[in-house]
Amino acid sequence: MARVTLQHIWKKYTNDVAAVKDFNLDIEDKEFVVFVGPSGCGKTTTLRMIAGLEDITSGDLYIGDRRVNDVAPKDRDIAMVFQNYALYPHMSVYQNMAFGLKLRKVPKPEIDQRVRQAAKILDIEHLLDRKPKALSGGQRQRVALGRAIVREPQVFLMDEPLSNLDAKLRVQMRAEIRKLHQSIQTTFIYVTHDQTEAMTMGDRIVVMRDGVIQQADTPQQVYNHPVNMFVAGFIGSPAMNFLRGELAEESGSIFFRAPEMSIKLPKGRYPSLRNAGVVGKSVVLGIRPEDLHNDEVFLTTYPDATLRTNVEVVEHMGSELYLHVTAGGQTLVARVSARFDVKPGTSLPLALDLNKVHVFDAETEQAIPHAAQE
Amino acid sequence: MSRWWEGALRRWGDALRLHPEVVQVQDDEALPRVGEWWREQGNWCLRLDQQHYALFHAEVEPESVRQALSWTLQLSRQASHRSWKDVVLNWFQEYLTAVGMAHEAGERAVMTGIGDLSALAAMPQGYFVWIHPIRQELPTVESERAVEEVVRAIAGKGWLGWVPPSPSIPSYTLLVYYSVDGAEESVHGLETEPNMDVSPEYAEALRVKEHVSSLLTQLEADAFYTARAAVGCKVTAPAEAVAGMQTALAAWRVQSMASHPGRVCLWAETPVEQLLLQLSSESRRTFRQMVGLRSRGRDIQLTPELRETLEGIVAANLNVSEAARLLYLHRNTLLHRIERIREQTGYDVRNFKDAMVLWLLQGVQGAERPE
Repeated sequence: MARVTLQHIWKKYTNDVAAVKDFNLDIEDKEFVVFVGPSGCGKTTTLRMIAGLEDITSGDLYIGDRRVNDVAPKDRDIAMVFQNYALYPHMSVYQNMAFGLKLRKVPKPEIDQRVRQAAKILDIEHLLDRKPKALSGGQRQRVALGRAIVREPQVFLMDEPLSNLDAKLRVQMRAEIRKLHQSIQTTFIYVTHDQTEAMTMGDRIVVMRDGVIQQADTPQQVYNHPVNMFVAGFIGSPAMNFLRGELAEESGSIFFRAPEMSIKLPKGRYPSLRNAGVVGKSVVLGIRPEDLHNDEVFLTTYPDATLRTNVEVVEHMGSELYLHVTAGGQTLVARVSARFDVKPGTSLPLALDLNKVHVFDAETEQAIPHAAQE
Repeated sequence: MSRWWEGALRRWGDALRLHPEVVQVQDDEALPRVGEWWREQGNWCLRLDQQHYALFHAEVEPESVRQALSWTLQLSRQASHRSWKDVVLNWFQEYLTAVGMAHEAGERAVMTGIGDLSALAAMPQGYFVWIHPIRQELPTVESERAVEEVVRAIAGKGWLGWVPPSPSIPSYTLLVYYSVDGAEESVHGLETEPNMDVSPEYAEALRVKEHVSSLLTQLEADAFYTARAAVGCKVTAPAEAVAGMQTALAAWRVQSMASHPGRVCLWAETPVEQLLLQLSSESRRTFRQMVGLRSRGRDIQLTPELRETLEGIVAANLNVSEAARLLYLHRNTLLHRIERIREQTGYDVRNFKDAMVLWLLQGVQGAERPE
C-alpha cells in the first residue's frame, strides 16, 4: 500500500521564508501525480520532503499508514530519479544499476535478477556492459530509471527527469515513463515545470505557485476549469487569452464590455455571476486560443460574441496557424486551421465559443465557476 | 598554481637581479640533470625539472653563487616532494591545533575513515573538496559506509576521510581530493562541453564544480546524504596541498556567509568575498562606520527579509521586475521593501553604487561572524 498523504506541510528556512505553505494532498496507491509550476514554486522542495532529503518544518507526512516525518530517507522505501541522471562514469550500466543494491547488501543472485528484469522492462539489456559515456541521453535516462526500478520501492519520486533531453527525445521518454508506470503499478510523484509534460503524464496534476497548491485535479479538469487566472495562464499553450473589462446588466442580459467590445454572455452563466457579485464590476474574460473561431458556423451562431480584430502576426505551425491579433487595444492569440489563408495587416472577425468562456474576478483573480461546477 | 621551483627562483632573481627566462623542453631532450648547470650560446642554464630550464641572460658568477642556487632549489624540491599523506595529515594536525581541536590520541582520532593517502602521489593534479551535510545529524555507521562507497565510486582514491565537528566547521565533514589527472580516477568520465569564453584553467575548475555537483546528487540518490561542497584552488604538487585545503575552507566560509548558499562553492568564483575575508578588523570597522554615516551614524543591520531583498536585487542586476520574479514577490511589495531599506539605511538599492555599498557591507558583516 503506497498511499502518500501530506497534511498541513510547511517548509520554512532559517530566514523565516516559507518555501511550502500548508500543503495538503492525498496521493492514492499506484497514482501518477505531477507537481507542476514555475521555478521556485516549492514543487521540488515538497518532493524532497517526501524523500526525506529536506526536513519538514511542520505538518505530517504519511507513506502508507506510517508517519515518516522522522524516518530516515533510506527507510522510507522510495527511489528518486534526478534530472542529471546520477550515473557513475567509471561503472558499466550493470554496475550502475546494481550499485544501490550492493550498498544495501542485497545478495548477489537477487541483484542480478533485479538488474536483468529492470533492463528488460526498459529495453536496455544490450547496453548492460557499456559505460555511461557510450550511451545517448535517452539511454542514460533509462539507466537512471533502471537504478530506481531495481530498488522496487513503494514510491517513485522523479525530479524533472527529462529536462536534460532534447524536445524529440522528451516526447518519446514521456510515453516510456507512462508505460513504465502502467507495467510496474507503483505510485509515481513527478516534478516538472513543463505544463505539457504535466498534462500528458499525470493522472492528476498539482499546480503550485509560491509554495501554495493552486489546484489539484485531473489534467482535463484543470484545463477546462482552472480555478484562477494563474492556473488558466500556466496550463495550455499558447496560453489562455485574458481580456480586461466590466460586466454590465441590461434588460436582463449580462454583457462583457471593454473598449470596442460588447459580448453577450450565455444565460446559463447569469446565476453564478450574480451570486459572485461581479456584475457591474471589473472582470477578466478568459478564452483559450482554440476557442476563437473564424469559420462561418461560429460567426453565425455567436453574432453577439464576435470581435473585429486586426491580424498582426501569422505563425505557421504546420497543421494550424497561430494568429496574433488585436481587438480594442487588447492582444489575443487564435489557433485556427492552416487551410485558412490570412495575411498580417488584414481585418478579421473572430467569434468566441461562449460555452468555453471563463470569467475571473479582476481583483482576486479567482474564477467564477459555471453553475454546473458550483 | 605555481611550480615548486618558482618561489626560490624568484627570490634569487630579486636578490641578485638575475631574472632568468624559463624555457620549456620535451621530457626526452638530452640535457643535464635537474639542478645542474651548463652553458648554452654563452648563457648559463639551470635544469629546473623534466620540462623546464632557466636561461640566464646575465652572468651568474662566481661558481659559489651557482652552487648556492642549485642547493636552494634542491631544498625546495625536497620540501615539495614530501609524501601526500605527510602533507595532508601535518596540515590537518596544524589546522586542528589552531582551532583547539588537537587530539592527543593521534592522527586517526582526528580524521576517521582515512583513505589511501599515498595513492594521491599517483594522481597529483586535482582539487580539495570539503563536503558538509546540510542536516546536522551524526551519520550512522551504515550511512557513513554508504557515503564512503559513493565518494570512492566517483572520486576513486581521492577519498580522504571524515572530519569531526570543530568551531570552524560545525558539522561532520568529508574531505575529498578530486583528481583531474589519470584515467580511472579522473573527473572526465562524463564529458561536458568546453567553455570557450574563459581560460582553460578556469574552464577546468567549472567542470570540476559540475562534477562535484554530480557527486552530491549521487550522495542523495544512493546514500540519502544531503550536502553542500566547497572546492579549493588547483593543486599540482604536494607542497600545494595546504593551499588547496585552505582555499577549499575559504570557499566553505563564503558559502556559509550567504543566506542562499549554492550547492557547490568554487573558490575561484569568489574573489570579492575572499577579499572581504582578508580585511583586518580595523578596516572592516572603518568601512562599517563610513557606510553608517548616511543613517545618522548607526551601524546598519538589515533584517533577514531585507537582506534577502538586497541579494535578489543584486542577482537581478538591479532590475526591479526581474528581482520581483526571482524573489517571488509582487512588484509593489518589492518596491515597498526597497523603500524600507532606503529609510533605514539612506541607500537606494536601485542605484548601482548604493546597492554595491550595501552588498559589500553584507559581505563585511558576514566575514565578521564567528567561524
